[in-house]
Amino acid sequence: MNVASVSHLTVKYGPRIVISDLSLTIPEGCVGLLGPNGAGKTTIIKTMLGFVKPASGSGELLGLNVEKDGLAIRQLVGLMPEMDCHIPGINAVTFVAYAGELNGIPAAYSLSRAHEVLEYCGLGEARYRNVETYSTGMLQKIKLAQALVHGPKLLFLDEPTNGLDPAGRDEMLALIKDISHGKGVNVIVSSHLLPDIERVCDEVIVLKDGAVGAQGSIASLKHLDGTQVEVELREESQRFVEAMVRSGAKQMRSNSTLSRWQIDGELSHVAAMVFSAAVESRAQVRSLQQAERSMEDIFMNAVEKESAA
Amino acid sequence: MTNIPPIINPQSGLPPVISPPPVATGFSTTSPIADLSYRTYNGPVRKHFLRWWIVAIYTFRRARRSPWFWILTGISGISYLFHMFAYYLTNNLAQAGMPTAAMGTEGTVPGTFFSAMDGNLNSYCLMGIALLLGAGSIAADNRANALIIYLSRSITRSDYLLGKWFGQFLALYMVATIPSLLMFIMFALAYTSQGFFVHNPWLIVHILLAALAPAVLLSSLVTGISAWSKSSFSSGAIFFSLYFITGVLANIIAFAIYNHAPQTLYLVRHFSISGMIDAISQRIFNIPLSNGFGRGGMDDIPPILFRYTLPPVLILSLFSLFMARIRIKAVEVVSG
Repeated sequence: MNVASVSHLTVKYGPRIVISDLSLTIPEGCVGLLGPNGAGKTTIIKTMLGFVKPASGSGELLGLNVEKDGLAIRQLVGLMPEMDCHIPGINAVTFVAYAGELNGIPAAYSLSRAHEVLEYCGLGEARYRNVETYSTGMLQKIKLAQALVHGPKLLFLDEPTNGLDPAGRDEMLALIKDISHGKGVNVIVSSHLLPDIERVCDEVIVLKDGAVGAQGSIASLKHLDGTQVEVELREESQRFVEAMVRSGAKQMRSNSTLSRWQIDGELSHVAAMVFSAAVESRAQVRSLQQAERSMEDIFMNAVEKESAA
Repeated sequence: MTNIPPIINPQSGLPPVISPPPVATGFSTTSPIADLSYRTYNGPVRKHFLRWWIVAIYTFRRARRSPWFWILTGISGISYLFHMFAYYLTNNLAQAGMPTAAMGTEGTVPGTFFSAMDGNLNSYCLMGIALLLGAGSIAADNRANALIIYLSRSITRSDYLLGKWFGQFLALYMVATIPSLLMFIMFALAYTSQGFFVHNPWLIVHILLAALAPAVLLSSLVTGISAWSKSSFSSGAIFFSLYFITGVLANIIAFAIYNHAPQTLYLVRHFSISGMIDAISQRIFNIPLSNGFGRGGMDDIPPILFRYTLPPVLILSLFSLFMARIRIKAVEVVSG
């Protein structure tokens, strides 16, 4: 089942077309919206939440019409915006409880829920401090807490690890992973950080200049046709390359001692072939592993394909 | 002897795998909230109808927390005490057969209420409270990008604006009415035997209506100005300047045309924020006009009719709110 879809969506900021005739569907689970800066990731989120009126096209979110059912959609959705944002002059508990009340939760329930969510997000006793005294990492956590307080069915996280140190980033990604897997919350993570998306998402959509460059599960996008292996030698060896080519292997890429080979046959056969080539050429194999496309490959392919088109 | 874990796993020949500590995904013995796992909310949810009320109550609660709100409210209360005392003196003098004409409007019950509610001290206090509550109401939200927090929930831009406006209106209206109502009770207790209710049957209604004008106009104006600013200080400065400059200008123009067109003079004098509030109140309490330049002799001129004062106040209030509504957006869209 899809949680969101847009059909022939065009969004303009004044005369500038930001998204042109975009059609896409976003499946359940944790989906990453990838793309370089200015690709239209945030604009899609803004449009789905009704903040930006599309010039043409239509959209659905959780079965509701984006243009007509804005209030009902925002009742079911949580947004963690990219920019620093908070309600000034109050502590974190009051802020999150107020956010819950704005979504219709009665005051007593909202206060209790605010405490739970803030503890869950790791703010602990800091929840009694004024939000304006928070560090960047804490601000990110409180943005997540306010998005979660009303128990959304779909969570939009716009650049959730922006400005975080490595430990903070790990914590944030662990939280996103926990929320998005097995808790009944669908999550759409917009980011340009490939490792973050790879760590938490099941599916990615790569955007470039407001169009879809690639879409699919991370596993399927990483999959390579045939059997490809990466071989690392102790030293660069031309004789090893020649031995491999003689055995019928095709060199896909080479970078000093590291090379990628495509070989027909089962993995066990491929391993045997690599080792016999190494013996023949007297080369020392440091590592041998099945190759897969990296997120960088997927991203660059999608972006370059669009540019070429 | 302590057991030191092996550096190399004898079975796999690899170093042992050390897992990082779990992050907020289970039960904790250190947190006051035992179950830290994420649970969705399945409790009751209120209907959308009164979401603006939540914003209003929050705005009003913030007003209550400010010490300056209570200081200004206290100063405003002093004005009522002063006018009650003035009436007490006038009334006693009149009963003793002394002339009381010099006391002007203080000699009558509606006049005393009008002077207390719309005297300079109380007007400045109300302006100060409007400044305190309103200058930062939307400007501070603009500065902290709070609008995206509000508008990503199931509330509309109008709900947000109505809530912000009503929170300030409520605070101003309460500051204007509660002391007046207390004064009304004091008068009722002290002067019922002298025919207080017989002579002033509609006074309580007049009090409630007269307090509307400053509450509506000041809260609307300051909300409109605040929506277009990102700084409480600058929106406060604009509101403060507008309040005083219109007052000073109206008086300067009125003084310039003095003796030439008395009817126009009265209209012009009241063509300022404080003047319009004054004029509406005068009409509600039916207090004769004073020329205000200390030359006397014009107290028999009736107050300005509503048709000259209500439309500007309503237009100005609605225009301010309309302008605020235009400016309230979840996100800034940079065109071009």
